[in-house]
Amino acid sequence: MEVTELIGNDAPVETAKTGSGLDDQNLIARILEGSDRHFCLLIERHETHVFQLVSSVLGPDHCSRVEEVCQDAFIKIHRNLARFRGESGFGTWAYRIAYNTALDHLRALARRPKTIPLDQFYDARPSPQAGPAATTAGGDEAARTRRAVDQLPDIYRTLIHLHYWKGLTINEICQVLQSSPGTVKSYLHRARARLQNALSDGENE
Amino acid sequence: MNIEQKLKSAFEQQPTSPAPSTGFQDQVMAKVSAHATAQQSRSSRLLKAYWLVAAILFVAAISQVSWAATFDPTLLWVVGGAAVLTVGPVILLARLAGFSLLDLVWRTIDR
Repeated sequence: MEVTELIGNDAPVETAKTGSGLDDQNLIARILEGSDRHFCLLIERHETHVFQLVSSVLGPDHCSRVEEVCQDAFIKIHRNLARFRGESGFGTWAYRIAYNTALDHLRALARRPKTIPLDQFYDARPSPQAGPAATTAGGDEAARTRRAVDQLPDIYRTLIHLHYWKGLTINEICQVLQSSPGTVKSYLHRARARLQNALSDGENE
Repeated sequence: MNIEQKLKSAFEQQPTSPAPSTGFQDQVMAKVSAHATAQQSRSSRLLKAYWLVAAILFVAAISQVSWAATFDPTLLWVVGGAAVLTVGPVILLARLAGFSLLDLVWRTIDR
């Protein structure tokens, strides 16, 4: 299953006009004429959604990389702006680029050997004051759930992160993914069902 | 505990992701212009390499140096001919203008 089925599958959600009051198409026309100022306005208009999307793809373990990946995404958007034909909304097109950029980074990170900075390693160790029961019961369950979320297909994992980690409502997710509430709810339901199955399989083993 | 509760408790202690910093747009613009400069420099290097190879082949073709004999003569003359057609007129014009061949090659490479 690809994200393209979910991102922008319905009429694009209207994004607020910030800054100049020009719509995206007019901003793009000015940028292609060489105006950097208008590209700044385009970034300003879409950066919040791009940040939400990228951080949800990368997940809580890679928070520190979100800004770097968003920069890469906007550079790609700028580089390919001349190829944008306006067949879909600009948001749909740009967020797909951001989503794919984030996935590429995530895959590159997965190929690297895992290292943990020493200070994080010491922070993650259970404190001697907390008894073994305290560290295992709640913490283990939460960690097991997060691991199961990490194993989900990309789009389900992203949706779970948007809703449960970042706390976005269904309507806010619709804006980030440029999709309809019905579609988002249906995908979220499927994501929870898959996760439930994965967790029960883990308990039975 | 149902799945909703499990998910809520799994993420409640997790760090929140950063929001765009104040200098974010400037950083993107700086990277965009750095990328454009790097691309220009790459194509400029390619152009220089092309001129250098064309000049060497041209010299080899017209002076019939010994190492040129190791290549297929047809290939040498086809490539050399193309080089002559491109570099040749430039060199001739340059000579007419008073530049030496070496001077012109270095000016091209060092541009």
